[in-house]
Amino acid sequence: MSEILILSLGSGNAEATRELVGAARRIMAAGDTLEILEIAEVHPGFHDDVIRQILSRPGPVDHVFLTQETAARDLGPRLALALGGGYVSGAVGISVDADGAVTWLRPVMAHERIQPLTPVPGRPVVVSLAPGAFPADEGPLPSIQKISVQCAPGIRCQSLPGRGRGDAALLEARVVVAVGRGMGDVENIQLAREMVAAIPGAALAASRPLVDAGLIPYAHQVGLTGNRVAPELYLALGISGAPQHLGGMAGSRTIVAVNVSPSAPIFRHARICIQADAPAFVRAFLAGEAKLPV
Amino acid sequence: MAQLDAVALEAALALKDAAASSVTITAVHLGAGGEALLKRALGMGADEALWIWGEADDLLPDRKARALAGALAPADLILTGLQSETGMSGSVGPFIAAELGIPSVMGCLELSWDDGAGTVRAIQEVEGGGRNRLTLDLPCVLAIQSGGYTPRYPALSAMLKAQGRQIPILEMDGRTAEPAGMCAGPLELPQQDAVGEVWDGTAEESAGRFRDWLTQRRWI
Repeated sequence: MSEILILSLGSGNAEATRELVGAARRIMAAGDTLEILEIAEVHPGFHDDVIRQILSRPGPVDHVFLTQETAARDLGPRLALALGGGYVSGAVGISVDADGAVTWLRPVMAHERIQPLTPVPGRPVVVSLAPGAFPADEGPLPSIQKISVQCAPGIRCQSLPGRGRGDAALLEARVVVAVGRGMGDVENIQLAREMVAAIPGAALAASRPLVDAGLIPYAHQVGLTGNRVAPELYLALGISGAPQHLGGMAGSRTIVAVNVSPSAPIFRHARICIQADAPAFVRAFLAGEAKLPV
Repeated sequence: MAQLDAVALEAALALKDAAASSVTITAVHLGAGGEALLKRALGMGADEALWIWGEADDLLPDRKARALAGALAPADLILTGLQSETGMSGSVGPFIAAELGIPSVMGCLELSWDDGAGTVRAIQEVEGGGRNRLTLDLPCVLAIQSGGYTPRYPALSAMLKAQGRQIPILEMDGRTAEPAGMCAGPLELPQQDAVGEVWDGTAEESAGRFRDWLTQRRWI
């Protein structure tokens, strides 16, 4: 019998919690118990108390699941070390053999390789999941225990005003044309703007590297640290599909991805996978538009 | 040098520039390829460099952290990039902090000294554009996110000077040989498990097909 804990960090994170439950159910066997601990407010000063409360629970904890959000990325390794167990960062897959042995899969080498990780027998495992990598569990949630935590001395925290809402046209767009590193220069971004203008109801979005480079304003950033969008069509141009980006657009109804690399992770989420150089694809699209009769 | 590592070094250089008292920056690299990378760090402005050498090719972050913690223990402030381009776990920093029993913060955009208080201030970026202002006692570990600092380009004269420096090499901490919390298997190619149609024609063919697809669905 195993004791499985889901850590739901922050309030209003129901979809992410259901993804954690979905992954947990993949490894559950008869007699295993599953419980959700909800911690509404979390920042680095709270981690020691979260760990203390988990360690003080009656009975051993065998598996802990959490998201890959900022607070969880700080908490997960510390919790694994405190439990004397292992840590899996950003799992994107799992395999369970006929004997129930579990192997976690996570991306490494800039998403060019997958690293399989197996638990050391008898030791607990803390697993953070890449957003959108596991289907959300649609059934009734297990019992939720809300815990409050105390801030440790040594860290003082004050919330600041956020960077504001995203671009209104982006948040309401039925079609989002998103650009990534593969479209990463001024000329190519202008091409993407022309493509946006050619598709009614479309808006421009970008992955984080282009915003960091100052090529596109933050209001257009999609991802965990940017905006979350759920358009009817998401066209990803030159976007590899890092989990941090997928976390902001996983709710899109239809995803079309254009990428020169056939191993780009975005293709595992796209309904149409176009293997092509993204700027060349956009140029060809615009050239075709120009030839159409008015 | 990986971009996020360069951002972390730039954060350290900016802190040194703003410090009222003397600050020494030591650039530390674990594993292969350290000499060229650390000489670039010296060229950018790091004062010292340390190359920790040994087997760390399984990319397991707790093992890396054990290898680094002993050498980093005397530091007042340990800065890392948010995650490496190889291991991609973003967890070496928190593991180092846990090994040393000190605070850590992921996703820092801006740093400043809290002069005279023995603390450092950090603006932390969290989900959805949210931000926290944190004040931390030293020592601590901070993982730097991109966007707050633009790494400087090393001057040619500084690079030439760095080329003449001898980089000290330290053998890995013996505890690195202890079992990690997980067992790593051989790296695999990602599965080509695209859930949808694959269009692998020329850019022109795919663009025409996509235009037809949009038209059929009355998107254009």
